[in-house]
Amino acid sequence: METTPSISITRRRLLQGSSAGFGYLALQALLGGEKAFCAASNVLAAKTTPARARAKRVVFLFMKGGPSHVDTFDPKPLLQRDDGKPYPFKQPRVQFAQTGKLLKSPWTFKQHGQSGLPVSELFPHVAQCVDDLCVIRSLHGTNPAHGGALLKLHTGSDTQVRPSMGAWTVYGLGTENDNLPAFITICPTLAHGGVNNWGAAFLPAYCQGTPIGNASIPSDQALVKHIRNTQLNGAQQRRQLEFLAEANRSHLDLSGADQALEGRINSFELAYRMQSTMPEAQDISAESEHTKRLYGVDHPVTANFGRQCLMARRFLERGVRFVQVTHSDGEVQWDQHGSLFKGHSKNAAEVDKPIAGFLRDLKARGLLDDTLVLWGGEFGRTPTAQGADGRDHNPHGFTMWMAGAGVKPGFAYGATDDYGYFAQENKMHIHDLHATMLHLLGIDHEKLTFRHAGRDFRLTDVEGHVASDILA
Amino acid sequence: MHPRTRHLLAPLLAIPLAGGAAPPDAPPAGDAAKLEHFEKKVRPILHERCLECHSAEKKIKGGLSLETGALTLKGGDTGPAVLPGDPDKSLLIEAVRYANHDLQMPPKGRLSDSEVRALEEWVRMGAPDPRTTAAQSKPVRAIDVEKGRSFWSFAPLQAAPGTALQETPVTLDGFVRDALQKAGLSMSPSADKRTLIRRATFDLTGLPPTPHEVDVFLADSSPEAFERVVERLLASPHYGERWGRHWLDVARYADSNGMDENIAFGNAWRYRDYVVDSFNNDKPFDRFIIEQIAGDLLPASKDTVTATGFLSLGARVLAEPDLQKLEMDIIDEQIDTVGKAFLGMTLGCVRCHDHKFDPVSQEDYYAMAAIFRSTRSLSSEKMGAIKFWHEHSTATAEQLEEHKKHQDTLKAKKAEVAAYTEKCRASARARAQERAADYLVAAAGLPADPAQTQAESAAKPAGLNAAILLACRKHLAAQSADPVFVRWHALAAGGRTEEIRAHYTPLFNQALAAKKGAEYEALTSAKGLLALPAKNAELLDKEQLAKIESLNQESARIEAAAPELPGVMSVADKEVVKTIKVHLRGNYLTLGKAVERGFPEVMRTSLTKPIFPAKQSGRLELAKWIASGEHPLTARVIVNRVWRWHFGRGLVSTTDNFGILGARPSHPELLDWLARGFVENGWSIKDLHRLIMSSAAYQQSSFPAPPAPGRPDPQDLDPENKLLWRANMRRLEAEEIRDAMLACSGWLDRSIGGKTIPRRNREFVFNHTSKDATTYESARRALYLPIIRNHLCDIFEQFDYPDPTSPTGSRNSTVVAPQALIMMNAPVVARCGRELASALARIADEPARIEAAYQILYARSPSPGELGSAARLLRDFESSADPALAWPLFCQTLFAANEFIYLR
Repeated sequence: METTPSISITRRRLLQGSSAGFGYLALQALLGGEKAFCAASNVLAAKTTPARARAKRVVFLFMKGGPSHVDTFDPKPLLQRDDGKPYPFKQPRVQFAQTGKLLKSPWTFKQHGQSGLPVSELFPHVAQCVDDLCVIRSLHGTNPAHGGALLKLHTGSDTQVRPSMGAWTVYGLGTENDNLPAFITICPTLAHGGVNNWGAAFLPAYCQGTPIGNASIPSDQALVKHIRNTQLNGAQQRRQLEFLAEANRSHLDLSGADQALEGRINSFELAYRMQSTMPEAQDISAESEHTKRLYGVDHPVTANFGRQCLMARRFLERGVRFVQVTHSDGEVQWDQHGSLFKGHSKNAAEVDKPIAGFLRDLKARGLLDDTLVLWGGEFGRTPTAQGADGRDHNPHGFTMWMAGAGVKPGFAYGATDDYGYFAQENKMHIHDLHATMLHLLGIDHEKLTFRHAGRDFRLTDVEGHVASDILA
Repeated sequence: MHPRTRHLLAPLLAIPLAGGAAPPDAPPAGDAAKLEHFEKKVRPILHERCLECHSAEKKIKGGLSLETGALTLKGGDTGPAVLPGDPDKSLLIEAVRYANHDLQMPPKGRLSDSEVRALEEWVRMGAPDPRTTAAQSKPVRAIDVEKGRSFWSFAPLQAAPGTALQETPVTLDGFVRDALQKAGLSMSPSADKRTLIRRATFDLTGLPPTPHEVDVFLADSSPEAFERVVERLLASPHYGERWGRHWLDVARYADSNGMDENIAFGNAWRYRDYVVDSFNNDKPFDRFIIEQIAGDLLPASKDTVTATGFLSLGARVLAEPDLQKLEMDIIDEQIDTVGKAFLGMTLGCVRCHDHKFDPVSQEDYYAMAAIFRSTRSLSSEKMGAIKFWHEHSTATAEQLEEHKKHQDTLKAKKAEVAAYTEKCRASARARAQERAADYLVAAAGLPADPAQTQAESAAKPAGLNAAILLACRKHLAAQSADPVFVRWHALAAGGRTEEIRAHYTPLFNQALAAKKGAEYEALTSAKGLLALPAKNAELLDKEQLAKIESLNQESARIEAAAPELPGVMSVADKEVVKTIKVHLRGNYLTLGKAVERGFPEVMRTSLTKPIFPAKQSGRLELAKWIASGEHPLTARVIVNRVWRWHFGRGLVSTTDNFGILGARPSHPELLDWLARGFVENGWSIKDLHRLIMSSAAYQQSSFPAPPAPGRPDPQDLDPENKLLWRANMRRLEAEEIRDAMLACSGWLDRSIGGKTIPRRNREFVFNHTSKDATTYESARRALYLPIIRNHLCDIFEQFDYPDPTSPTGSRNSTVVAPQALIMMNAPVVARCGRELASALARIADEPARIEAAYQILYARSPSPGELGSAARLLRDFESSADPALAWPLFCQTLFAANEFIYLR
């Protein structure tokens, strides 16, 4: 269609036309200084039928390993009743492992808040925020193994390397802060797709996520790579860059004016600024004791994830477009094939208070109005038992929740079957999740395309429906 | 298949229910009740839940329209939607019942039970349907092969390109000048010799020229001086490292799988070295193609089997539980890679549907898929859920013997661990059985579903095991009707614990002595009263656990020391599949018509149908077809790649896409002239370098004088320099930046080849712990740094190293701030600064030292202004608190400067 490619065509021309290839836009940013990517957002705003953006930014609280929906946000009375009996319907054609009989949840659910949405006792603090949540109980994906499921969730594809949803978001909307990356991922896991889960693939390089540390590094030691010079102080580095600028200027006399060369000169200035803006954004010491307590930073169990959430809020405030916060302790994660009780209890205890604190803080600061919060794992878990006290991977039906900009608060959407195995009502595929997320950001997922290897690619490939029932 | 041909069948299908008389689209003979059922119950469902995706007005998914009765009967890609009268055999009913997880409609949520019943009833009635009119569906696009062949890249190479040129004889420069003249432009004068040798040395070896090499070239005033430089560089073993690396981009080379499970390709380096050797030996490119696609089918040679690593290096979802999907995913990756690498075609698109732009049909795709389907790509070995790629073993008898010995030792050690563990557990079991009565006594004091802590505090004073006690109590609660324990329940309810002991002690003692009876069963059943906890830690004492732990460690040590059996990543033929069914929408669950092995018709090189051997996959035939001089794409694609790697832009700028959506050639005749000459000259890449580098087009300056007054500014006419009115500035690639820093600072280890990934074959480079098991601290060339998919080394990541999961013929060249952070702060850059500073320290005189630094890094002398600027920097630091920083920092900054990173 001729009227739609507002983003794609204009950019494509820019990109094709430039000898600097995909670096062109980033280069423009470097040359242009202020509001590096505003060109992109203007193009977007100029669309003929713009979907109204409800969210300006996204934060994804990612629970690596697959939290069990039937033990957290999707209560199943029949599962409790039929504990130990066989699952009465057909199991999936392809399963990750063999599972046995139905296993009831060891936790009890209670209704909370005005909405009366049920939450299990695993999340006592989040339960108090339930009136802000839009609980989606009908998520489903395709891949029952961690790697495939992570890739599917983050990139929409579990067969090939594709841009991550954060990268697409940045490609569509650009950034609001020139001195920080537009997409930041805090302590991501390096396994199961690793960098592909925040990569830009064929999108321009500036779209890729910038990792801060990784899942094996405590969040108080997590840094962007090479953000610090261990040898030089600020004044010394300033002097070094002066000399560099002199050298580069005399080189311009030899080479002639060139956009790439000039862009590179400016890139050192931006890098120099980033050395102070990044640590400043990460530094939570200036936060009040009250705030730190709110996030559980004062308690050893919650300190690590609490600090991640608090950093996330600081990045969101500074205009970072997409922030991912990963909960993965490097060992057990949410992958309880066995020891469900112990493992899920530990995991939930680590994140419950920080998440509730994060939601309250965003709300108090007015950030929740235009920030989309997304919570969930790469899949759920089977209602059937693996061993005595475990659950297997289940991509066929699971729960994620959203909160904030543009989604119905205190609302439950979709349903799994009576036992929680398969999504059944108002099913929401991962592609639908992506379509809905982009919609909330004011982007039509069918129009955000990028030409690569002979075709136009989308985050949602050829799929995706916006779940309009959850829109506020 | 063509919908219109299927349409003809519809009347035939409709006849039985129409009684053979009525036209197919008319309602079945007067049954008002049935029609009423349709109108009241069925039509609303179709309208609200089905037609959005199954009508020409909206879209026709899966080829199925439900707009009229006839269309419903005709069905979609997988056949008729209903079989009138038989709900159980009707796909539509199967779909709405939601019982088949692979066929569920509507996809967003199931219909209510009453709606499903209404549809079943309707089918049972014979599926009466009065609807006859459907919206006009969009015409189906058919692949037109003959028309496709007229597209430039599918057309044969031009017979005599260049005959229309004014200049004779026909030369490369003649084509370039001709195009420039037509645009009113001209070539720039030749670059100066210093610029030229730096350009040529990086281009051919990826390394900077040494000051000595520069001096020799400057001193050689003969007309052959530059030719001599080129010959010297082509003869250098570093040539193959640089140009092999270009090919490795195309081959999406890596040392780990990446994707979902990142395990080491411990033998990929053999393919890498094979590629380097092939370039150094100037292996004819047609031979190089054949070896990579079908080297295993050539007369036996280690080299040629190694070459098929090309097909094996793809990133695969190794933990994919769906084996059929995995197999087709691998085939798809292979076809896509072969298509992009050799033909510049995006064949991967055709897995799901006819190519939307290029004249390649799904049948063409599956004809090739049949060839790869007969190829073994996966090993039968695996590790848990993780499948391994096929490897060809090159182990000698001695190596196999040694390996087996080691495996036996390991097996024995593991058996020792198991035996000892079992002994400990058996004695714990016996002890528990002896004290069974005590367990019953203690259990009586616990609630039916006790907490772990309750069990612990009850077990401890009695000297019992808490886990056994916990299980014991739960077992009693679950088996309340077991006659053996009826008495226990009665006594426990009254708190009569001593009576429990008195009752059960003799009973159990007798049972254990007699080894039979209900009590004996109860005591010894593995899941019964005294079930042992699965975890040793909950059962055994500290000493036993320590002994097991130390035995396990011994076993792990032995395992880690296993000798690695040498092997090569490769493919092999397996049972030949002569046909394969077209996978509708790429899904192996929805199959269409069967096709035989073959090649895409639009690219056929002869009028006769290819003949495939009955007992071979056909890969060799495929390889020979691609490597044919008659193939319209192959030679064009490779000469264009070589051009791109010299000039920074291909004659066809989309090096991996020569299809309709790819770019058109800027100099079509030149491209064909080069391709034709290349084939006639025996596919020699080195001769192509000689031809290109000896041209004025290659040797021109990147910075021409401003245009004379009244002359057009080429910057306005051709800002992208498509016509080559000057040389392109080129930013060094990631490896060149690193290697040049190491080379200039005297730190580079120039040894060639060998295993360099510091992991064992198939070992995790990243498991769930996110701990980085790779190191990049090596003085070898960047070619030998591990290419870890999903986690490239920082310099690679930031300086546009291509995605190593996908063939790349044209790397990006971006400018982003994180690159600057690396040059400012990365330890490797700082170290190069220090190394260069200490190498320069032997020169006493400061200006001479600065001069030497400029010569080594930039192949030129500093200007007086630059000398002064450098001296000021050095002075500032020498007089500071950190005088030792002065020279290292000066050197590091020269590495960071544009002049080092860009070729003029």
